[in-house]
Amino acid sequence: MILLTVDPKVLEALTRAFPKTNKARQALDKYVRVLQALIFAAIQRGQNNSQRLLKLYSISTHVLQNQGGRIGGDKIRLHKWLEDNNLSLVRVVTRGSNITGVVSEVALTPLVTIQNLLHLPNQVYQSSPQSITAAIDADKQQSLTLFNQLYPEVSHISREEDLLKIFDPVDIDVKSLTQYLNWLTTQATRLSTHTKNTYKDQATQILRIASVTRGLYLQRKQPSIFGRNYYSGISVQNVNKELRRAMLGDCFEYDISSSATSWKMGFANEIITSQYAGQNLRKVFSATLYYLEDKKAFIQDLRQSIFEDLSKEREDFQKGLLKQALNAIGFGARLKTQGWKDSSGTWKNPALVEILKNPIERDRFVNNQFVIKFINEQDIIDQFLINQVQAHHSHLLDLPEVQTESGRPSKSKIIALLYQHGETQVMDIVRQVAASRGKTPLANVHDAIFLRKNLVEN
Amino acid sequence: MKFDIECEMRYLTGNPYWKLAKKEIEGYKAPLPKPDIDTRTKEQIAADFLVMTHKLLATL
Repeated sequence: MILLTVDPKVLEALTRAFPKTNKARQALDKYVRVLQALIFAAIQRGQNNSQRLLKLYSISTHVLQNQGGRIGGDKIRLHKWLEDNNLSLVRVVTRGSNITGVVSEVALTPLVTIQNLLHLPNQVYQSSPQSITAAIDADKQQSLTLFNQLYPEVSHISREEDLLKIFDPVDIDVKSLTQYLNWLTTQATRLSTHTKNTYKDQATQILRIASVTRGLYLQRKQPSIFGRNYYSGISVQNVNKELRRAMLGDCFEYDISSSATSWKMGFANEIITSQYAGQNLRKVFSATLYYLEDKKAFIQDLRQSIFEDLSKEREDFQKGLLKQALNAIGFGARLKTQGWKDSSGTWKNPALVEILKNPIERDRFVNNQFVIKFINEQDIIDQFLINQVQAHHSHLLDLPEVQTESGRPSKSKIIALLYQHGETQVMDIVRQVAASRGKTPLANVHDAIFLRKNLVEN
Repeated sequence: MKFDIECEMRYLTGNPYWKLAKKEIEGYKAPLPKPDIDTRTKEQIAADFLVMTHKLLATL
């Protein structure tokens, strides 16, 4: 939630040019409202480091021009009038393009000041969790303004089922969240100031919304063609793990173990029947089965043969890298260990290079016998899936979402599309069975559900 | 109940490899009260130590 304050000389000049009663003020108010909404949305989407440093915002100047209103008998766009009279409120730093779909980066001119109205004073955060709740409760009007900015359509919705078509509500543990905010501002020592501020903003926004809705936060659904349900804006899916823990409070997470690999292995029987008749499935897919049945041992073996420093302190980090690398392979990561230049001249590294940055360790990884066998098995499954798509679902190959830059269908994108549909299908089953036993998830994250109570065995 | 869900996942999708993992998540709790901080000066601590040693020796 932000507030833009414009230098009075802009309104004075506009009033001089268009002296008709109140027209200038109304037009400028409208323009500022549109700009405010665009900047607020840009902050919600997240800024990269340089944008934060240089105070730049990714906004569509096209939208600003078109929705920012017109003024005068000639119906001149206010955006243009401001530009022509050296009274622009924004300065374009990087111009967007409708070809690449990248929007412009703008900076505010000295004629505008920006204020973040979301924050509470620092001493409130640092004082106690109770003082945070009290300050939010005392500041209901700001929370209501934020609610209306984030969810303008809610006031027109009267039926709960209509609301649930657009939003997934999540029950917020307000006490836990205020305790997190207090911890974040008093005891968190390993986070940068910027990271702390981002987390503080996100947590405060959730708290403010929960104060308006008696404990609920609304996540705006954004279904993907790949089958997953994403959310736009802040949600349990895109906040950091600690904040997620804070907003949900005590609960249980149930996620699918090695989801992508398990999904792929679901096709193993069919592959054996059609391509490896008479062969033993456990032999053909030995590495994948080893990974699924004893992931801990698989990763441990791999760790010992790849890393030299096997100290306890490095264990979790190294295991995390190996899991990421194996997951990347599952989605077609290249085994190339060298990078390349793309069509725009930008240097690109294969996923594996980004994950295993040490070239010696990476080399050991790609030459490890288990990894080689694992990759071969993944290739067998991938090829089978691609053949199935070509034979029975060839329309998928034409989807714009699965094309490479050069206009050919990407194998890994097709696999991702199939997997994400499979993941959604199985998670729907999880939710349905849980619901039939009276368990409604608090929140959903792709391959996981969060429940307030444990799934007790009968 | 977790077992029932896993059975349904496997049966309805025909994939015997689906498995659910459970993780217990603990919300944020109020921080523990900070231990009392010793505000005595070095000299006071040394003097107190001396008194204590004398008392201890007196008990022997």
